[in-house]
Amino acid sequence: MALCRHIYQSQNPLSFEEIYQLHKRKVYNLALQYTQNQEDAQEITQDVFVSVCQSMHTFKQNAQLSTWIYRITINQSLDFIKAKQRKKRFAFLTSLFAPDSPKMKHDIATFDHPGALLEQKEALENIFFHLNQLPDNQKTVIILTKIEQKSQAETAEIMELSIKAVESLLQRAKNNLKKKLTTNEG
Amino acid sequence: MKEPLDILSDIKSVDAPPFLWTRIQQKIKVEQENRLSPAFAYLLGLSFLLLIGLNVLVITQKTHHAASESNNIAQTMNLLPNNELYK
Repeated sequence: MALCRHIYQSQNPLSFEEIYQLHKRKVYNLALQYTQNQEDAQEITQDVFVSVCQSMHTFKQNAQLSTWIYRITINQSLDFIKAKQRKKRFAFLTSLFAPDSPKMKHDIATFDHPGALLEQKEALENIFFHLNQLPDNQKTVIILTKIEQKSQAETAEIMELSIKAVESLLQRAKNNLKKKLTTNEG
Repeated sequence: MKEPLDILSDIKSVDAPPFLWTRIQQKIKVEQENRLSPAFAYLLGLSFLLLIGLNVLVITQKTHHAASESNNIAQTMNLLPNNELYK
């Protein structure tokens, strides 16, 4: 990986492998919050670090490296989810023309979050089902504040918003989520 | 009273699988092997522009040549190169 090593040492004393070791857990867990699926989270984690290697020269050092990596992870996760949804739609359309084709079987999303406690699995699956229906920015703010336990200031830095904007977004997200959960129960 | 969303903070952080590092290295290696070198890309672009330029030159020369040929024919046969029939 001469490319990573070269870009790296001119800007930062850490090697690419050291960066990976420092941030792999954060990236993997953040990807898990978006996908709730180990396989997908592994895929996203790989893509994130490949992207970090390729774009290290663009890192302007006006933010923390961890913040930058967080942003890449969020973007990669959202792109991955959108691509998966597109594939599902395409699979549905093609299944109309070739219903018996094994390739056209729907990819049923499985809730496979290793961080979920067994006794809470059902409740979490329900919450994530509704969380996944929120707009991207609302979903992100809930994940960062409620699951990743980031402060509003840290969340604002990652999302490149003001603290007030994060506050307002969080309130909207919580209200929407509660509404969906209440409707589901009723 | 416990909020329904409080359950989200109970989610545990887990370790990334150890095989990911090998896969990442592999992916980066493949990307580097497939990448076009900048020099080759510039050469390709330049060749393409040159080809278009040459084509344009040939077409304009042919058009000009065709126009001057028809004028020569008209002159040789004393054909009026204009619409003045009764000059």
